[in-house]
Amino acid sequence: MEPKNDINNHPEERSELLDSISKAPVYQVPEGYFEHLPEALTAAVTGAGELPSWLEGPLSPQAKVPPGYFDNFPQKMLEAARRSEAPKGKLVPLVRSFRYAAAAAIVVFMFLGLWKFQQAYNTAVPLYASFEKIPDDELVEYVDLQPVAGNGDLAYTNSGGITFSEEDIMAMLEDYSSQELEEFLRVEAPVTL
Amino acid sequence: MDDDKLLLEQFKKPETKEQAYTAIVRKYQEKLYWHIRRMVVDHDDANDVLQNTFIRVWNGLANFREDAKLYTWLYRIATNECLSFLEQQKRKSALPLDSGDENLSNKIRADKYFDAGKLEWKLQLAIQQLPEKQRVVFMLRYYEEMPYEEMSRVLETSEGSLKASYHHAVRKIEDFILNH
Repeated sequence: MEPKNDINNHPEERSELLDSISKAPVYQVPEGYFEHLPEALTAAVTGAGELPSWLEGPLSPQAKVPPGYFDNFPQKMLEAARRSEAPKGKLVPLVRSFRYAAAAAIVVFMFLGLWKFQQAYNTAVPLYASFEKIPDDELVEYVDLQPVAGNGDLAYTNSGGITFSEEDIMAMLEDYSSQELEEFLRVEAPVTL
Repeated sequence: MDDDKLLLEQFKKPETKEQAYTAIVRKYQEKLYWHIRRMVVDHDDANDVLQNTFIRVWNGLANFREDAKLYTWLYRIATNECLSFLEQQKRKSALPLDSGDENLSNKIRADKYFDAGKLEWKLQLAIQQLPEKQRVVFMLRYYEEMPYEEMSRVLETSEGSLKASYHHAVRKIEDFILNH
């Protein structure tokens, strides 16, 4: 070990203030810390033992691997890499899988739609065929007898022409002036007295 | 043959390697511990850094070149481990980088035995105000009284720069102690 007091050979470095301060450590150390450290460290670095808990640190050297772990390690890694290169099947990208699924779904929907249409057609054909057996006169009579949806006050039927009440006629004539009516009667419908 | 050379010879022989290593740890543990402890302040941190230092010694001692002194080499490893540790602490901290020194000062003030009225504690606070490299220079010179020639090997810095750095460090520390 290098002899101390080298600083005394450099009086220009002396400081009265620093000389007045004790160099004794101000910090405390756990009791017995230095007594066990050498043996504990030796045991740890040689693998003969583990560090005691009070000595454990972030880089404790007791981490071990199974015996022979690193024997032929490069060769093992090479073989593992080769095995991973062997073809095990075709990997289909996820996007492509989605496309296949969508196409399949469209085909199924088209098939279902066609099937439903066919079923409706098969059901409808006998109905139309049965109409052909009914005479036209009966069909016309049936339609004439059915009420037509709409204003209930309007009293008319499809086949019998329009029937107006006197009030209706008077209401329609209000839209025309007396001169227009007289002209109409004189030209289109002359009244013979 | 001095003690260190004998230990190195023993370390090279398989049958005495562990015995020599134990002897080296026993011989230097306290010196290195206190060098580290003054740098990192906290005991648990000092313990971690000291362990890492001696693990590196175990792994590297076989390649140690005997043209350098063992204790110089040990201080070099310990100092590098300290600086690496402090750098890691700064990175882990969510606080700005320049707050690392303040963090160490807070650790000193949080010590159970801290006494703000005592010069010894003020000195510790003053040391933490120094830049890290200058802190190392001051500690090696003031506490270890390491010759500049050896220190230049530890820190890979010229002796002239080390002398100037130490001179400035002393002035800063005096100023801190007198004004705080």
